[in-house]
Amino acid sequence: MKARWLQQTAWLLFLIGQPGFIQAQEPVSFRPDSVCKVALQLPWNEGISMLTGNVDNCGEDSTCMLKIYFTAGYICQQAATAENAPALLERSFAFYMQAHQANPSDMAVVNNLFLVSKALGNTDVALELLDQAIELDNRNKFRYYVNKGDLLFDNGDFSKALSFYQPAFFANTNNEALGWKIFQCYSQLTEPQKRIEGLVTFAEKLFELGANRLAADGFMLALHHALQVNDQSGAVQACVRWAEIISTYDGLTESYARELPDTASWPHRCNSELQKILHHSFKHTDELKWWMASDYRQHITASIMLKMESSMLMDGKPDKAVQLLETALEIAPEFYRYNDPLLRKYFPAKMGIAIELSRLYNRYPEMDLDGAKYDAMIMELFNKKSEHYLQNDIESIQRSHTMLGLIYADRDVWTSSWYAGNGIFQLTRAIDFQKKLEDKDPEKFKPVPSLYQLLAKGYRKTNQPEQEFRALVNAAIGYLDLDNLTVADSILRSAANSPYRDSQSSQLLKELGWITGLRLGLRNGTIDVANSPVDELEKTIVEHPLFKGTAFQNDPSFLNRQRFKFLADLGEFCTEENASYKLPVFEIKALDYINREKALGNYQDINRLSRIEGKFAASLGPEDVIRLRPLRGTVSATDETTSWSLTSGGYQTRIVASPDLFIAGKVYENMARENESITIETLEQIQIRQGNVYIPYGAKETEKINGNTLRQIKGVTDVRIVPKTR
Amino acid sequence: MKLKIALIACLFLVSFRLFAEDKKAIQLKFKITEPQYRIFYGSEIGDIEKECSVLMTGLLNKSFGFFRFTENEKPHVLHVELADSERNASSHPGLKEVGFKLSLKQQSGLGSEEPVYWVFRPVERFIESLPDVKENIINEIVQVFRIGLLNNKETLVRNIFSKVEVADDFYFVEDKKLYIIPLSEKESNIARLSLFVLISLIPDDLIQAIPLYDTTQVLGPIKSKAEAIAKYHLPATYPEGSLALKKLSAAEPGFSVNVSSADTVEKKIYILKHLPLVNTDLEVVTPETFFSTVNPE
Repeated sequence: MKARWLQQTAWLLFLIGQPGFIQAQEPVSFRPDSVCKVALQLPWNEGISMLTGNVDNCGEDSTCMLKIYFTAGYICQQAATAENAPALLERSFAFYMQAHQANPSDMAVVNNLFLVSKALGNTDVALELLDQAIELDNRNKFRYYVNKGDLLFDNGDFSKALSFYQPAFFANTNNEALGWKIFQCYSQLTEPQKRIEGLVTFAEKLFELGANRLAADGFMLALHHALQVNDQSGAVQACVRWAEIISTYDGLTESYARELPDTASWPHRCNSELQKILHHSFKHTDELKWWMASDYRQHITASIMLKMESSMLMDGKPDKAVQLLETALEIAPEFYRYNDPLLRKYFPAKMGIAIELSRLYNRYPEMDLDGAKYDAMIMELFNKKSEHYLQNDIESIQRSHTMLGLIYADRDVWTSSWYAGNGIFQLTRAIDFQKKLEDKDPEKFKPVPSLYQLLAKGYRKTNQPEQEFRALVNAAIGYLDLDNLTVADSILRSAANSPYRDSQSSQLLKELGWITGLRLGLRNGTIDVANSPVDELEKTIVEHPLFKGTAFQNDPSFLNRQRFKFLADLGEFCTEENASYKLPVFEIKALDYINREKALGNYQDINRLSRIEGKFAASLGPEDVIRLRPLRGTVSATDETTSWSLTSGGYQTRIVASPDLFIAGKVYENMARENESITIETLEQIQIRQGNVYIPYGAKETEKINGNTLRQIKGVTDVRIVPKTR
Repeated sequence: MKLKIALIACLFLVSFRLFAEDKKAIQLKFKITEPQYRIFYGSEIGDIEKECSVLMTGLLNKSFGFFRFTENEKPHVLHVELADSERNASSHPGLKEVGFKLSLKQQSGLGSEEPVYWVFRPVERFIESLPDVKENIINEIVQVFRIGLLNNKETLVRNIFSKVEVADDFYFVEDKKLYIIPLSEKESNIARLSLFVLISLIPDDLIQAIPLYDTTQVLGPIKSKAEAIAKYHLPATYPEGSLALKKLSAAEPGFSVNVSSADTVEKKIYILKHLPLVNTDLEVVTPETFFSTVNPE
């Protein structure tokens, strides 16, 4: 990737410095670019003499003066060493200032002027230049904010540094190092109370945004600062918030106790009891009275115990895990207590604990020999009354029904005297709530074919063929989203054997058969990708029901995902096997379809996007175009990217794509449409950087380039023509 | 061929680095131990493990640039196991989840190891049919591993990587009370404010050696190696842009002697907190680039 970037950068630099460019731009009599290039090759003092000797040749041409002075400034800047730095940097500054006067809005000049000012220790000027940079180059303003913050920090002005660091951090909460700079700023404030309050407030914001690890670090720092000035209430507040955050960590282990102050230096019960909880060294809950004194603390205590269960199971100690969860169940507040403002945002810990305990009772029957514990718990917890209290948390309700559905299915219980005590009821509810969740937020899309498969089994056992048929069809749809084509095909065959059939279901089955057949045909080689002309392949696709839009009118998202998958795979096959496939037409179409969606079907889609990125690699910048991020909060309004969620495994993830990728697709498509004879080599010379499209100069003479049309492409900020090199 | 394409696509994401520095190596061993997976993939399991290992090694190198992860044999071994999350043979086979268990073996260093775990397929997906295409399961394993690294970075450093020394040398600049370590900011992907513990074993006539601990924080890279060598006698073997660290005020009692000058001293460095580098520094714009800005259509 790095090599590719270097190659591209070298190419771009070469391309913009060609003689053709000089001829097109400058008077024949004097060529400042040539003078600058020669000057750059000379010893620094000779280079400067040559440039200053040629300034008069520029006359009134400000562009010419800009180039001459900029190059002179650059030469002095580069020549500065430890011995001669101040003098040469001063000269560099003076040259850059003249370039700045020639064109005050040139960002390259402002950038280098800033660096020279910083090196000279001229903080005020450097800060002023950063202000200019923010105005001139708003797209990168947060980068300049960080630099402003750094200057102020180094100057000891921590409050002011914070005013720049904070907006920059909140524009990209993945910059952990910047988060720590903010902690550092607060830690340096002179008034202890401001230090503690600042850290707590910042950590609160981090927690709200879902940056939990960083938030925990912030509270822990606040705790230590509070103890330094013997602020007991501040220390307790920070400690409780820290505990609240770690109670959300999966796979919590006792190693977190090491972060707390030792009990000799801070003997408060908040600390000593919390250490007992984390070390699991209490014999009775009486030893945890401080942490059981309110609903809020009880919730934290019970949640920590729930999250510590997995490490016990991993150690092969299920008996201890069950014991811990039974204790947690006792401690956890009742459902109705979650009206407390501090708890309103949480799903009741009791429910989570009960679900996990139910699973363990089933997995380790020796812990509940007659099933009495399980039955009693289920009856008490999973009734309509508890669901009433949980109405605001659809995701958690969905999880509860899923686990109960799996348990009943595992026990082969499909009917019951109690309406909710069977697999069919629980699985149906799990699926219904999943749909509700997706209706409310399309990013929550998650294929659940295994739940449908289990449900189909339940319907078969209870002799409900119509329901069984529908569950099978939905299972097949889920497996198509997960790219498990063989299983989808096999389930559709089972559905086809169902005694139940009406015209609507027959049509549904037929349409799914088409999609599966098309995708399997591509995989198994029954579609002749190698020998078919690309335009014929395109025609075939356009005529296929998957693309005609006749099928699945009620679920356009499913169709878009299937079209994306098929087209991306077809593009890949064509690239490998069809020598006439040059322009990535199928990949461009694939991008169009997935761009309409908010969620991906599964992990294979990340690979598809990466392969598509590879097709446009020659035109894109050095940064990764497809990036993965933890899914938390929403994408910032300032972040001009396209992203999808992926909720397929243990984590919800956001897959972020640079808008340049989509611009590349549209530019290629647009230029190919207007120039039938255009080659991929010509298209690959186009460079796209942060919405700026650079088109080779020579291409304009031979190809039809409509700059205005290209400028109308979403995300394009500018179109520039530069000399062609190859 | 398809596998190759998939691997290349992943490598695009991974973007391997070249290691100019002599980083400490950690071997990666990946094993699928979940019985149902082994049965399903049969003779293909070895290939799957091998392909996954290659890609996981690349991901680790990208995320934790202060070590060199490799599949070759090394004293420190990072075991990655795709296994049942519970270690209990007597349990009922259903209702379980499968996940990645990461642990360190043959380690010598601070404290005891604690494994790190994250979910591969949760309980509701355990019953789901596995993909019959080998490339698809490889991709799923690698992508979930990648997402897990993203979400468990801190726990991995805390429980595993802080137990392996990142370097066995550091240089103390007496005048400035700064420590220089032979790791550079960019190559090692270490941002300012990351934390390291420096250990010096000072020979003692009564007991064999007295360990001295210092918790330090990264200040940033040194500006010029040549200047550091000339002025402060930094060893020439240190890379350009080596990191300078300062002792934290609340740390353990510091050095009572200039340990860098004592030949017999044994030194070890361990990472405590890793902040990945996000480059926000402005860089010098060259005149060549500058020419390009004046050529509108």
